[in-house]
Amino acid sequence: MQIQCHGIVKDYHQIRAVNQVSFTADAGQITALLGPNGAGKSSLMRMLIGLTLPDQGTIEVQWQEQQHSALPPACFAYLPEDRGLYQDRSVEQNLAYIAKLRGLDTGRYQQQMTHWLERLELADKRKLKLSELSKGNQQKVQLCSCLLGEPDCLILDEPFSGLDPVNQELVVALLQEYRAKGKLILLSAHQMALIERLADRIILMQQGKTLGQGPLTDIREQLGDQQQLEVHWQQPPQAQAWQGFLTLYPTAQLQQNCLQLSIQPDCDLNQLLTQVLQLGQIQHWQLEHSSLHQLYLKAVNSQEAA
Amino acid sequence: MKLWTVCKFEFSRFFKWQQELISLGLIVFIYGFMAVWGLLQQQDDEQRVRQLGWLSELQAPELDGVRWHPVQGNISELVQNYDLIVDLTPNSVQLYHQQSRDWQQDIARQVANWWQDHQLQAMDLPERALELVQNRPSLIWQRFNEQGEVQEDSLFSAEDLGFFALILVGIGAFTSFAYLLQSITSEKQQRVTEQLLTLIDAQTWISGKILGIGLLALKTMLTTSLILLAVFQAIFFYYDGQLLRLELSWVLLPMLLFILLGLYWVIALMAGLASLVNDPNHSSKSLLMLIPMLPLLLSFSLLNSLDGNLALYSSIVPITSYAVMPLRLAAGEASWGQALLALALLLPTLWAMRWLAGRIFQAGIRSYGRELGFSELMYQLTRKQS
Repeated sequence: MQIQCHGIVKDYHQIRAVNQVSFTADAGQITALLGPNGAGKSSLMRMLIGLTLPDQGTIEVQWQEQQHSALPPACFAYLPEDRGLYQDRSVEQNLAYIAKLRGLDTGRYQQQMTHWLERLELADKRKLKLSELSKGNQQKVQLCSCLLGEPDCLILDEPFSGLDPVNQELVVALLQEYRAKGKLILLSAHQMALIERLADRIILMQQGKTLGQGPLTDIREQLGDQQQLEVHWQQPPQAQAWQGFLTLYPTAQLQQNCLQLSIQPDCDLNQLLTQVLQLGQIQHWQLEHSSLHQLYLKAVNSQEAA
Repeated sequence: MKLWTVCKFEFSRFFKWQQELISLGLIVFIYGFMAVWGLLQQQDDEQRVRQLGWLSELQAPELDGVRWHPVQGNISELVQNYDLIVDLTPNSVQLYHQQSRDWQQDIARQVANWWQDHQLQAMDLPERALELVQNRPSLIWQRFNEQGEVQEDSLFSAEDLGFFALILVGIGAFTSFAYLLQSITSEKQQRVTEQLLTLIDAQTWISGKILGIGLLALKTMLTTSLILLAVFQAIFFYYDGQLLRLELSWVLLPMLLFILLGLYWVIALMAGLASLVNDPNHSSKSLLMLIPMLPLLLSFSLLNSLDGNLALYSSIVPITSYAVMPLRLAAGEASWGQALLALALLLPTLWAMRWLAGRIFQAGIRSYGRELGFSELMYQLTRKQS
């Protein structure tokens, strides 16, 4: 299964919600849509599932050796941003209704309902009305409703919303398992640390446009992200030696006995480390990339400034 | 298949056995309480000692359960000690009292009748003249059916059946109004819409809703008629010592057909219009839902002129026929031809209303957060469907 979007545009009352977005999402992968509120993530999802139509551009879905202009209802489940279940009905009644509408027979959905409710630690709450559950548990019921029938594609709009860290991990593990079955998962989220671990591909959006997309390494490249060198000496370097270092590496920053330096792509690491060693006795050092959180903030802020 | 899933869900969402039984129990309790209360009041009335004064020079009449005390003196003082004082004058019956009571009217009537009889007897009229003056002629009505046979007198006629049916349609329509408004606005507020629209199309959803809510309306109409019937039977049995004789005839079938078809399009249109409402507390659009019920109000005004032209035309025009034709059928005013013509016009209207409701629903149910304006609604209705 594959989803391909080409130059998607969507306007709402003279506001361009989605502007020339193109991307590909494949089966067996988790694709994450990231971006601030109002970036166009939900609008894009609504077009993918056929709730609205794009004003421009095309959506191509390859499923079961056929091509479709939106996701066929039989192949996907959708988790809306706002919980979309009946508050006055029990967990069981809500799930049974969704399962029947998805075309599952009673025996099959009963078995699957029990399985997923146990998996999401909701088995003892199946008789309770949805309004009696906490926000996080309601979100898990919503996720459970998506998993009934085990569709080939999950479209999840903020699946971690309202979940505590323990439940977030539970859902991460569940999604990883689901991906391992060869399913396509497209989700949006604001939990960068989780997405960094979970997503195979990332689409970074702002004001309807894509700022970067692909695996995290590609995103880093597209956003010109540099590795950060951090060195802690036992004592601060001598002023004269530090001035000499600055002439070679003008962007270096010194805070007491700690050096922070962005590594340029053409930088000779051997020469750099030799220079660093000359500045004093090293206590601790690390070389790392910016986190997704930092990348996200950097990209969004620079776009806003532009 | 999905249509029936939605239908069953909508029905079971609002139909609760426990509440039904509690409601029925409450009605029986209230009825029983009122009956017992009436009996207690009657007993209390009978046991109460009433002080009745007789002021006239004439000898006081002997009336059932009445005991007179001959009195004389100042009326304003006497009324403080007596519940009612009666004084007969040559042309009138004078009654004095401090507080009004229902039983005083009853006694006054009996005294007036007695006084009239007393005066007539004093005139020494021939017996036949006396009989004529005292007894009015009895009116005897006899009804013939279409076959020219004498129709047995019924306490509950076909005309009453038409009126009763109209009341029930009103109950069904208002029940549907309430359920639809609650069902659809809560779905919009709880954002169930997006989830469901990925599983079913808007037309299947609204069709299932119409059926489910329609069944609820029929259930309410059925239970209401059974309760009313039981209450009427009890009242008739209490006062007349006999049960109501129900006049069932073939006319019930076409009446029922018109009612069902009419209710269907009324519910369909109300469902479509309900989807335009985001919050019933802050939207005037819910009033639009009352428009399909206007024919019902119109038909009440036609109850006494079912043989008129207005009733004839409105029983054929498809917007009003579901309410007026059952009345005319019950009253025997409508011919088969008129009924068939009305039905032939009603069926395509039903289809058109269902289509219109589906289009309104499709546009309205997706607009959460803000309500659709009329110009936008018109655009959505007229644009080509994707």
